[in-house]
This record gives sequence, C-alpha cells and structure tokens, in this order.
Amino acid sequence: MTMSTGIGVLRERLRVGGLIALLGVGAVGALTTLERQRPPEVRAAELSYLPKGEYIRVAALGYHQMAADLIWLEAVQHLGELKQTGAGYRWAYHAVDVVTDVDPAFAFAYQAAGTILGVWAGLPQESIAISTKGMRVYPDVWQLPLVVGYDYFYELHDVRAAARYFRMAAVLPGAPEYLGKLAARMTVEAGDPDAALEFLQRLSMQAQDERIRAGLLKRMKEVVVERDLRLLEEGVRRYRARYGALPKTLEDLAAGGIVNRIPPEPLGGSYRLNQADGTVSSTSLSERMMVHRHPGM
Amino acid sequence: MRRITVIALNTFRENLRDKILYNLLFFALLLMGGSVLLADLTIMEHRRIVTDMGLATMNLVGVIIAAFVGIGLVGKEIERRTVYTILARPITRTQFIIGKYLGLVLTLLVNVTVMLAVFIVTLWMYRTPFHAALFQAVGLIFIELLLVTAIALFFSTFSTTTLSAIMTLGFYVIGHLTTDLKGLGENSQNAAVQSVVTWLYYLCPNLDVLNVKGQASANGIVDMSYVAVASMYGLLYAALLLTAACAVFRHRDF
Repeated sequence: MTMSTGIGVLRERLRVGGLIALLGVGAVGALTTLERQRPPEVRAAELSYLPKGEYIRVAALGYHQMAADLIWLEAVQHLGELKQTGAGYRWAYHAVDVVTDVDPAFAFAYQAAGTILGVWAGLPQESIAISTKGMRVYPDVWQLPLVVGYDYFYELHDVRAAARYFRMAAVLPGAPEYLGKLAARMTVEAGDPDAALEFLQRLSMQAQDERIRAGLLKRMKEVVVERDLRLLEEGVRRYRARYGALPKTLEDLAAGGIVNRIPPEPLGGSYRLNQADGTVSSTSLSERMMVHRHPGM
Repeated sequence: MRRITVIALNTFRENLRDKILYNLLFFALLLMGGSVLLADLTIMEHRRIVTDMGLATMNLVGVIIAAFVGIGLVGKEIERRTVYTILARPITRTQFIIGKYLGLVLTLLVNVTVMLAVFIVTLWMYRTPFHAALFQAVGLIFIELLLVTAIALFFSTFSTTTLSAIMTLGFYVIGHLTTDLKGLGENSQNAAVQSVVTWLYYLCPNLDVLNVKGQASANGIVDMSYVAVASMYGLLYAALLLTAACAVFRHRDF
C-alpha cells in the first residue's frame, strides 16, 4: 500500500466515522429532549403501580393498550355477570387492577369497575381501591369520588369519610348541581335505603351502558326489598305491641290497621312472615344483605 | 440519484412480485373481523377496542414486513449472485444499499397507506370519530418501520439471513425495553451498573419514544414538538445505521 492510498483510506474512514459520530450525537440529543418532553404523570404512574402489571407491560412490548384491552375483555365477562360470586368479582377486581397497571390511562375501567364492585358486588374495599387509584390519574373526574363516597356511606357506614368524598365530587368540574344537596342529605342518613335509592336512581340515569344500567336497576329493586322488609318488621313489632301477639300472616298487618297494604315484591317473589321470631323475608332473596343492617338491628 | 431511483423502483417491483401486498388482505380481515368480534364482547369501549386493534395490527404487520423483507434485501442478491451483475454496472455499493433501502421504504409506504385507508373505513363503520392523534400515531409507526428496516439492512450487510433475523428481532425487543431498562438501572445502588445501563440506553435504539398509540386511543393530541423530535430521532438513528451499513458493505468480499 502506498503512502497516498493509505492516506486516502484513512481519510475515508475518518469521514464515515465522523458522519456516524455526528448522527449518533444528534440521535442522543433528540432522545434526551424526548425524555424531558414525556409527560411526568405518565412516568410517575408507571412507577407507582409496581409490580403486577409491570411484568405484563414488559411482555407486551409496545402493545400496552392492546394487552390492557384483552385483560379488560376478560374482566368484563366476569364483572358484567349480574349473578357473580364473590370470588369471581375478586378475580375481576384483580384483573382490572392489572389492566390499570398496564394502561393507567384506561379511564372507563376505573369508573365501571368501581361502580360494579361497590354497588352490586358488595366489595366496597375493592371498589374504593380501584376508584381512588383512578382518582390519582384522573383527579378531575367527579364520578370516581362519588362512588367512593357511596361505598363509605352505604356499605361501610362511615359517614365522615363519605362526606369528605361527596364534597370532593361536588366541587369537581362537570359535577351535577344536585350532588351538593344529595351529599348533604346522604351524610346525615347513613345506611338509609331511601337515600341510597335516590343515589342509585341518579346514577342509573347517567349510566350510558345498558348492562351497567340493568345492574343498577336490579340493585335498586334489592334495596326496595330491604326497605319493605324493614317496614314490615317494624309493622310486626307494632302489631305485637297493640294486640299482644304476633300476626299469623302479613295480611293481618293490613287488616289490623298497622300498614295500608302489603307492598308488591319488586323482584317477582313474595314476602313471608316467620312466625317463630317475627322476622320477615323475601322468597327472591335467600339472605338479607349484611350491609343494610345497622349495628343495633 | 437516478441510479438509486432505478434500484429503489426495481426493489419495489420485486416486492410486489413476491406478493407482499397480500398481507393487506390479511390485515383487513384481521382488523375488521377482530374488531367486530371483540367489540361485541365488551362494555361501552368498543370504539377504543377498534382503535387499539387497528393501530396494533398496523404496527405489527409493518414491523414483520420491515424486518423480514429488510434482512433479505442484500442477502438474497448475494445468494442468487445477482449482486455481481448489478455491481458490474456503474453503480457504487453505497448507491446499491441506499436504493435497496428506499425500495423497501416505498413498499412500506404503500402498505401503511392502504392499511390506514382500511382502518379509517373500519372506524367509519363503527362511527368512531378519528382525531389528529391517530395520524400522529400512524406517522410515528411509519418512522419506527424506517428504523426497523435500517436495523435489518445493517445486519444483513455482514451476516446470514437467519442471524440477521434473530438480531433484528432482538433489537426490536430491546428497543421497546430500553426505557424500562433505564428505570431499573436508576434504582440500582451500584454505580457501575448505572453507567453500563445508561450507555446501553443511549446506544440501543429507543422504539418506545415512537409509540404514542395510547394517546391516540384516548384521543389525546400529542404535542407537535414531541412528534417532530421523535421523528427526528428515528430518522437520525436510521441514517446512522444506513451509513454504517454502507461502510460495512463497501469492504465486504463476496
């Protein structure tokens, strides 16, 4: 190799190397700029939800939303089932928890899961967990603190906590006007079926999804049954006080002037009197809902 | 420039002869069929499902074409010995590599355009409004495809087809993990681990910055300056790989 060809090769290599170095510096500069531009809340959300969804995020490569959608589809099959078991709902809760880990921006998952778990699955703690997780990502969505408030008020009988969340919901943008009044009313009547009925009615009017509305309506009927059972048991007590003995049938309450009439059972069954202890039950519901019982009852 | 164009157009024609566009049929069936099936199963969010399905399928199909056709661009010419007849003409090796690259880019452009059209028809069928964010996501998917093609072409200039495929897919996976890798490194107490991870982070392509599919499905418009810088990053990295590919190919013996 002569001196001049050697210099030529060296010059060419320097040129190529220089170009590669220049492009590399440009790429690293662009990447550094991108890091600064990436919304911090997205990064914070990714860090704060360790570790379950983390594995799926990694396995899903860039297809986080797709992975979240597929898990959501699976979860919905269990959440949407109105006659779900407690374990099924807990599994669905876990799946939704993972879904929102994989894709923290999945707004509807928080709302739907929070409502379903709290209102008709009877899992207030899980409902609160998923809704408050949603509140961290979407602090401006009033429906989320509303559901948490409902859980505390009706399911956990924690009036103070409920009031805090209702007030939080009422001041958020887009919150309906009635919310403030409703919040004030509900917080002084913890565990009252009438107040819960009003709440559920409002919620079902705003539900856009057929299945969620159907679930809310079913729950409303169950609350009506509970209200009627309380009314009838109170009637039995008054009957006993007035006549000195338990009535033989519920119709005796109407005949004895204690109640105007025996209300129809909204779920299609009928009310029965247990003559042994004077309690009243419904043929449609195998057991009374624990959540509706006051400590003194 | 004319020579590069001739090679690019020939590569494009060759891709068409290889029935590459049949994948569009596959894409259309997968998108429409999958969306119809999945959307009926969900509560409320069928619009989101259709959008996510479309973007993910478009991305996946594009990456498969970019990687698997990209690794064959040079390898196939060498195997068939057609590279001799091409390079015997007044065409430099650099022009050959750039022409091959641009030919596949043209194929990908046609692919992505048709897939986007099918996607928009699907969205229209589901009465899903489409926003600028959707086009931003598709634009960045295309940049990602340019980058993946450059990775595949780079490896194919000095390695066998099988090894190039493995390395390209490996880089694709790494490209989506570097952000997580950096996060893990930052949590490490060991300074050596931290510096190695930081070096790896800047050395490997970061494909995650080109992924705004999430914002697109949530209809969140991405800042235009972000899209611009991300595109610039993808193009710069692709140019770097192309330069390296040309440098390697110039010294390769057949």
